[in-house]
Amino acid sequence: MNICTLPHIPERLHTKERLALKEFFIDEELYWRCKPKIELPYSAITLSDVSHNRQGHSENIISESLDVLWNIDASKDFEKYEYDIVVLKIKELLPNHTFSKQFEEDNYKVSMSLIHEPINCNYAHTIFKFIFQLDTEVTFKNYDDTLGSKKAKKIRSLCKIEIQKMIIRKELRLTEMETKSPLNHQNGKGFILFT
Amino acid sequence: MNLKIQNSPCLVPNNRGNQLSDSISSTVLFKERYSDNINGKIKGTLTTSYESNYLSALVKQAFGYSTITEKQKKIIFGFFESIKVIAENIHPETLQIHVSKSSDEEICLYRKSDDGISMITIDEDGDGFYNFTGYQNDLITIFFENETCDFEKLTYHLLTK
Repeated sequence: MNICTLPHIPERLHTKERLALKEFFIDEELYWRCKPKIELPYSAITLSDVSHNRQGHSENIISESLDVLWNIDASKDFEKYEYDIVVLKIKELLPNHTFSKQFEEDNYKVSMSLIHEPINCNYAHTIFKFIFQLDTEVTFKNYDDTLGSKKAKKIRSLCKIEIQKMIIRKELRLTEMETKSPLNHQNGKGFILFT
Repeated sequence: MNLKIQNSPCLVPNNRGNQLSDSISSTVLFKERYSDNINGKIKGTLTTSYESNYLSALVKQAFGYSTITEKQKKIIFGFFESIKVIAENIHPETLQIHVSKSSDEEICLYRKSDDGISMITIDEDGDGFYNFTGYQNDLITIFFENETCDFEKLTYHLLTK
């Protein structure tokens, strides 16, 4: 059984016996924690670290936006990150309700897929998985030799642009910002709004 | 969805672009300004001769990134030389151009409009791309290389979307 031992994590986020959900939903939101004061989405995107919280179906919410700020690393002595939250929205899915894309450029091929990957203290944990040349999963360790390499810069850009276009803009969520945000570092705002 | 990815016009050898780049790089003014930066200095004289303080501040911000390369500087300089003509004729702040740096050490020049975000991204080799990401899901990406970049076309793309 997957047990979450961090007392500050709400029980609704504990994975316990729950399995990952392969399907995603159109208009489902993904919440991404990032450093404060990012003005341009593209500049904040790092393909070596693309974990998010998924929202789930609108009638069966898995995670609220602010849940992505919880610290789930027991070695760190704080409960919440004082970061901003960027919201991405799923706008297209394959017929089987999964998100997967493939890019080709300069003899390089990269597949990009969205994977729900629950961990003990965060059932909503979701990642973008990149497979370089369709055989090597991109990780923080091999990033410089795969998607982060100079020769792969065009295809890397295409992947980052794909994520940028999912980021919500022109959407004001003042009610949620004013009532839920625990953050003090950005005038009480918990979201970045690219308007 | 309107998806458009292409490798032109900047990728294709473009005499006009080369001429513009050559003409910019051959000027005494360019050498004076650029040689200062080759030496790692950002002097007041670098930007004060620009017509617009607004553009000067943007150049200074871009050149102030510690990881910026000479090739990136060359492209940024060429771009702002191209845009200067326009900035002289309208209030430069209406251009609404901003500067940022990506996690992969790219310099990004971008502007936001009612339709979306338009940006020019320049990597450490001075290569890069123009991208428009629209709020209505339309997308344009045009790659360029530093040797053949047409600054006027970059300017046109950035300011018309």
